[in-house]
This record gives sequence, C-alpha cells and structure tokens, in this order.
Amino acid sequence: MSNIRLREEICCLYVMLCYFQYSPRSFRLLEELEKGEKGKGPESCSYGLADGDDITMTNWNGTILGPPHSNHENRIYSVAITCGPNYPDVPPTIKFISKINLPCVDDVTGEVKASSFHTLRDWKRSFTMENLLLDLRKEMATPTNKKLKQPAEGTTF
Amino acid sequence: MKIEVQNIYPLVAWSWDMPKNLDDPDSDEPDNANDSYGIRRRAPNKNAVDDVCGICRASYNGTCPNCKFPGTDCPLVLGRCNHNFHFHCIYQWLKTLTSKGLCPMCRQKFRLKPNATVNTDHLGAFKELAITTRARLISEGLFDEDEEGDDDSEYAYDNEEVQRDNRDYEHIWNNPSTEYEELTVGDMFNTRRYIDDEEEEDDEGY
Amino acid sequence: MASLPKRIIKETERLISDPVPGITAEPHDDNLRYFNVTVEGPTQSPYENGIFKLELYLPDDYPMEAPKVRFLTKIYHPNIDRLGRICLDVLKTNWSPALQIRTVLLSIQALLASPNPNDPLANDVAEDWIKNEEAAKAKAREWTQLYAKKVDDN
Repeated sequence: MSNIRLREEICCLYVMLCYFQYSPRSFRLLEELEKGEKGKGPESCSYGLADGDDITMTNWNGTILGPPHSNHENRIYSVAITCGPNYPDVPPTIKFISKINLPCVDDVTGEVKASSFHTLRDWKRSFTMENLLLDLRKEMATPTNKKLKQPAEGTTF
Repeated sequence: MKIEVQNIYPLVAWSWDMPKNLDDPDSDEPDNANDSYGIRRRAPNKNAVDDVCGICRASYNGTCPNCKFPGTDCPLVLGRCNHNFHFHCIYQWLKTLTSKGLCPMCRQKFRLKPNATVNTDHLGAFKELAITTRARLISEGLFDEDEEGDDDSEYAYDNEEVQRDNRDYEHIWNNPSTEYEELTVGDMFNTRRYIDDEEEEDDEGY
Repeated sequence: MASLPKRIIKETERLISDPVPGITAEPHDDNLRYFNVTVEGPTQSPYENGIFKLELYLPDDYPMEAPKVRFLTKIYHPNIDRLGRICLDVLKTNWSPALQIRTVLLSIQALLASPNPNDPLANDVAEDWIKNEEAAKAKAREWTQLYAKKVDDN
C-alpha cells in the first residue's frame, strides 16, 4: 500500500505546484470592449476605444449620466481612461473632460485622484472600467456630493 | 532446496473491456476460451489500451483531468457514434451551450450506446442534462419550442428511447446469424465488478 | 487554483517538437496558457511572403471553451478587424474540444488563403472585396509588404 501513499504524495506535490493564471491584458480588454460595444452594460454609463485602430487598446472614452436627485441630474460627463501596459494589475488613470466639482477630482486637470477615490485606491484585478464609471457615478450621488455647486454645463477642463 | 515465501505482492493490471464496435461484431477480437485455471480470459482490447479520450487526450484507462484515480470513480461512456469519452469530460462539454448536444469528434447528436451497462449507470445524469440544457436553450431563445416534439427522438439520453433501442438489440440477439452474445457489455459489467472488489481490498489494507 | 491540464502540456510539447510548417507557437515563460504565434501567409494568396504575429490564450475552461486568438500584425482581410479580431466559426459557435491549438492555427492560415467576404467582421474591407476583388487583393498585398515583412528581409 506504500506505493499508493507515494502516489498520493506525488499528487499533493503536483497540487502545490499549481498556479493560477490570469487572462492577459489584451484579451481582458477585448472582453471589456465587447461588453461596451454590444451595450450589455448599464445605461447610466458607456465606454469605448478612443482609437479603433489602436491594437494596444490604451486610450478609452467614457460617459457617465449624472445621477437623478442631484445637481448632476441630466448632465452627461465625458471622461478619458488610460489603460497602461500593466492593466488590470494596475488601475487605469481616469480624467474628466467635462468640468465637474467633486472632491476626488483635481479641480485643475480633471484627473480623478487615486488617493481619494476608493475604487482606484483599493483596485483589484477583477475590477473593470465599467465598475470604475459606476462607482464614480455613485460618488456623485453621496449625500454631501450631490448638493455641491457645479460648473456651467458644457464646460471642459 | 527449501523456499520460504515471505511476501506475495499481487499485481493487477486492468483496462476497460470494451467491444470495439457493437454494430460490427467482426471488428472485435475473438474471445479466448477459459484457460487451464478456469479463468475466462480476454485479450485486452487494443482500442481500450491505446485510445485516448477525444476531449482531455488522456487514455481511456486513465482519468479525466479532475480525477486522481482511474476506474469506476472516473468511468468511461460509449457513444453510439463509437466515440468514447470519460464521463466527466463529455458531461462537462454537453453542459456548455456551444456543444448543442453534439459529439466533439463527429458533430452528430451525442447519444449513449444502448446496451452498454457502463452507460446505463449514467442515463439519469444525461437525461437530466438534456432537460436542463433544453430549458436553457429555450430561455435564451436559441431553441424553437415547436421543434421539441421532433427533438425528443433526437436526445439519446432519453431513457425510453434507449429502452426501445435495447429491444432492437434484443431482436438482434435472438437472431442466430449475429454473434452479439460474444460482445455483450455484460463482460464490461464483470470487469467493473472486479475493479470494485479490488478497490475495496485496497481500502481495507490502507 | 488550477494546475495546467495535461492536455495543454502535451499540446505545447508537440507544437515545439513537431511544429506545423509555416506556424510557430510558443508559450510565455510566466503564463503557459498564453502563446506567441506566427503564421506565414499562404502561398498564392495576397499574404504570401508575409509573417503575421498573433497572440493566443487558452481560457480556464479550455478545451470546453475555444482558445482566444487575435492578430497583432495589421492585416487587410474581410474576416479580420482593425484590432486583429478574427471571425472564424471554429473560434465561436463551431468550437469542439476535439480541436486543438494546431488545428485552430491551421484554420486561421486557411482563412488567409480563402477570405469569406460574405461573413465579414471588417465591413469596409468586405465591401471593397466584393466590389473589386482584384483591387482589394492588391491592397492586401501592399499591407503584407508594409506590416508583415519577414524579419530577414529587413
């Protein structure tokens, strides 16, 4: 029976050598793109490639529909998202094009500050650009943020 | 000279005893008669030794990728199209919507070979799978409910249908011009029992 | 946690020991499910003399799910879009676990030899192809020269 035990030990060793492999950046981004293209995502936000010819899929455009019952209601905010070479291990950078007054957004550049926005700060590999946009929308709707005075509609950073 | 036997290590090799092709009795090697010990012997089927599961590419006698030990815990199922797979492999494939219930090798509807004892154990699982898959296809709008009647006959995992097939085979059996007796999958059943016994012994000694 | 299935190990070994003529596939060191692929353009096609780079990834469910493949080299082909995505039935609805990395790559090579503008992914290219096949083929040859030239030619 010793050889059965040995066989089991070998199996255990094999299990220990296991590793989990993630989908590479490009196929992950293609998945996100497909979801965005087919409009499978929520209606309150959208995103797509900034340049349809860019096979590195680095630059993206997004929109967020301002949440109801807030000063953002009926506004459409444009954002620019950059997925670097180490996305999604590293969060993307995201910058508002439309002017907005929000504590986590730099009031000069429009950049979302990773240090003050939890989705970027506590980024996980499983997060997507859609999560990012939806969380930003939630951020606009928090009790303190929804009453913030907003710049004139249509202005840009 | 005196020989003292200190230990005996029995060694057992096995393989699935599988008729190459139930529909073509000539393709199987002839059964050997009982040997001098009265044990019925049968040359191991080349198919069973050499062939690999078309899905995981491991030997029929090996296991699917998720099992550790070969044998009854990771059984084989025989397709009517003569393509055989580890039960776990083909089950996982048929569960996907892409499979459309087709055999991976020949893209015909995958149907269990009737009369294979090894298959009857899994009829329930396949039948359930057929029902849930159909429900999923209907809910995704990929399956026309009107066709359901026709498709009933197509789903081989239907118990009734297999029973009907079994009757067909009985007919063949009763026809003396065929030699199906030699190929009954009862042989396989015996093999399976044999394995079961072995495993029990293993467990005791462990 | 999942180990690398034996089937993938076997396929990889065979791809390296017994490569398909005109096709190479090598796994990344840090991800054995992720392959760098090159495919030579078939002779007597507009892609002749070109070497096309592709990437291939075997998802967790492989072989129950098809490999994911895309072109990294720009190519003018009605079934391949600007991002290198490929419209090929065996990669989508007609996938079967009996297929392998090598058969998939052979299918892709065959797609280069016989484009199918009636089932397009790149609509503009397919239109060109249907309107004026010779002109489209000339453009495909031109792109092959521009983007897919063999390294030793440079």
